[in-house]
Amino acid sequence: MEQIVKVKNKKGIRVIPGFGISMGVTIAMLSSLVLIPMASLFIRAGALDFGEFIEIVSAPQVVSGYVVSLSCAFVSALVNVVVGLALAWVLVRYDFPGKKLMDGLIELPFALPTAVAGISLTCLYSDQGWIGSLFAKAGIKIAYTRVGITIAMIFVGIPFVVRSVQPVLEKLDREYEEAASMLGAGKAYTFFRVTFPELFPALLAGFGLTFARGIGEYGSVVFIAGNIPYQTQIAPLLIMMKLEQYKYADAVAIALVLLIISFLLMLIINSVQIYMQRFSRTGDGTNSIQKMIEPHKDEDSQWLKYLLITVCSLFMFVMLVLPLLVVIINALQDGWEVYRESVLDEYTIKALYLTLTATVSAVAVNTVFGIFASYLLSKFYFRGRQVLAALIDIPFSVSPVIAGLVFILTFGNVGWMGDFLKEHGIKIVFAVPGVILATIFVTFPFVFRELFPVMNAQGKEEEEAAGLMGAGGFMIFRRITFPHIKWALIYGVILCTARAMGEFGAVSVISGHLRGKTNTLPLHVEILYNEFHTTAAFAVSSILVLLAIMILIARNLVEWKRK
Amino acid sequence: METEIEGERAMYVEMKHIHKSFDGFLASSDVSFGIEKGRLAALLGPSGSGKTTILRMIAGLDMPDSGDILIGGSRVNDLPGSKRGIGFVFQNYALFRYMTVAENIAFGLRVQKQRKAEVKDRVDELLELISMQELGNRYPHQLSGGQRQRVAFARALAPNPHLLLLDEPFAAIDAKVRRELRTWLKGMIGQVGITSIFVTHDQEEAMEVADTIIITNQGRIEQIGTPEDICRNPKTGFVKEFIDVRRYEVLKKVRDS
Repeated sequence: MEQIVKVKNKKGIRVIPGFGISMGVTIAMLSSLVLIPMASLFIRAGALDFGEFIEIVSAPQVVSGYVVSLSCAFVSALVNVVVGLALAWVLVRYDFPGKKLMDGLIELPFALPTAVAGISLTCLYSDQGWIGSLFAKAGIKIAYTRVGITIAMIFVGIPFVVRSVQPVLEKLDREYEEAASMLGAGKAYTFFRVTFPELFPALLAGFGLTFARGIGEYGSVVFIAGNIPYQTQIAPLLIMMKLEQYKYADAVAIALVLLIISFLLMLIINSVQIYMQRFSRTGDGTNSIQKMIEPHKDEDSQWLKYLLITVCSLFMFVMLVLPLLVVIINALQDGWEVYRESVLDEYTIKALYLTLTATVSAVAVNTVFGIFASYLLSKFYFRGRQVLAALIDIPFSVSPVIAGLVFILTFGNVGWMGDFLKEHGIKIVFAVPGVILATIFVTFPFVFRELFPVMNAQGKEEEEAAGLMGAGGFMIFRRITFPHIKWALIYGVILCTARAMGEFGAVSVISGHLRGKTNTLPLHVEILYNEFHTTAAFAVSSILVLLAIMILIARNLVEWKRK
Repeated sequence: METEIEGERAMYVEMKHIHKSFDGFLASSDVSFGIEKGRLAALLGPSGSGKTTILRMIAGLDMPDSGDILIGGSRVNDLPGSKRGIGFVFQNYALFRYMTVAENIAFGLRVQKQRKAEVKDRVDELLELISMQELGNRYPHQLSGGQRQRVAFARALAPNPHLLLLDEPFAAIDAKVRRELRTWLKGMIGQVGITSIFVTHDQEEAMEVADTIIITNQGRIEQIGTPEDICRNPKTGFVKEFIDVRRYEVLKKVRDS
């Protein structure tokens, strides 16, 4: 999270208009869509007797769930740190054919629905799969083991470390490395003693995000895990199982522990980051003209270059390209006619329609929120800014399954609003509104996270100048603020769209899987797959793959424009 | 210590017919000059005149397109910067932000794998030299600009280099502190006796601090000489223009010193 710079409060009069409405909209949306549903979980947990709580969370199966989720997430985060660093290094420091393609593919795990990733990874690593079969000969099983889970978690975490480290590496002052070189240090010594500490905060942030994501991950993991009790059952799955058995108390207890772990994790990582920010406050002066004319001079040794580029290319191919190929090839394996049938099937179309509806709603709602909230937090100073920013980030670190759970606890028959809704004949859970709400929740911070850093860095002088001249809020926003944030806004919308389309875990909990009514496209994929209509599952997945590729292209175009 | 060769002026640092272009931009054009051992020389010129390029080529941070660079009589073109025995003070100091003052200063010594005790002694020696004995455990972000400059200086000197290069050492300092630091640096360099070259665009600085001034303009050397030489006998139109404004004050200073 961007560090919010403290700014002197103008006593009394606010020069920039729009505080009231920004605050109002932000608080209202945050409360109704995030805070109140989340509170339902805590209220429900509070109703549990402590002894009961301990009994539930210390049951051997539950404990194994935590262990599996935590250990696999941890290993996957470590792997991603190493590979992510290599990828960032290669993308920033080297030039090679295919570099743009590599850079463009990084966001694939964001763009591809977790369910699609799940089934294609399972296919790839099963004993008959392209990779799985290679290892099976050596007697090593990947699918349905913790290794498989870890690989799936690595997949979803790839973008986090790379995109965290890349900007830092790009802006890193060459002088540090040159100074080390002039003092006699070789490349390796310089990297470990000088460059690495500079990258450490970004690496830590990436690690944390990957770890948190892995703990809560459901869609991409649940297929490859095989859900063997005490071996490959991840915690989110256990929550799902308890829900299916209507054991709400158990689900709540398990979810609570998972939440506490995630929050603690984020807290520790944020604290370390804030601590380390102190060190970088040596305001660097202006860069000399020299740096502007000169490209990066000192080359890493040739063999290191080739090694890194090869390793990274291999990694990208195996982790990202192969799953895509799996989808496409499996979709068409029974021929074009069967493919067409699956794609044009009535339920598929209805699922597509629901996915699009939920996506458009989520993007619309979250864009409105994102604009108001980032305006509020970047142009005004008030007590509690930091807290508010942290609250907005909640959906980002909450497991999708838990997101679904809190909505059931709020709007479901067992929820505290259950009776009220029943009386008025409003159905949210196991109905379309529930699907939409869950999608909104899960993608809530996305647009905000893109807009806020840009608006924060921009400062408020321009808006203040306009405010002093008497301009109204809307005019200020349209003429002054908006031009600055145009591309960030588009980028945020793209990311939000990607995540919304691919949402699986939360929607899985809340939809009731009513075919033709409350099935989104990813859910439809799951049903087909579980019913062994594998070809059809991949056929439908191919639609999502196509959408994912379009999103990637859009994202790359925007990124290119921003630079 | 000072070892000036009487009679025959042996040059410690020499550049011979150096050419350098960056992507078509001519940064250095037939640059040739020599600096005697133990001298404190200034590369003086307007922004973009090529002075930092020259410094970086001597350091080995950039490679000339053609020409020779000699240090101590040997051609060093093919020797990487890390092996030229040069101390370099960067414009923004480039202090390692996650190391203490002491660790920064010790860096060059640890690279050479010197013994812990020896490293500690040398670091203490240098901390005393820069009058920061109590500040060894501070981090760069806890220091003022002037203090950082001094640490950068100490760090560069720690491995006992033969040549000290400074890239606009006072550019990032407040005007008030600049004069003090200038005098201090000149004193220190004299005390240590190391051949030094610094880059600046500030004539007053060059005139006050340097023994020898090399004036650059658009990639070429305009004139080389003592501050007095340059004031009394400007050789080219550019030098006349460039130095003109300060002539009176500088001559006065030169006469008084």
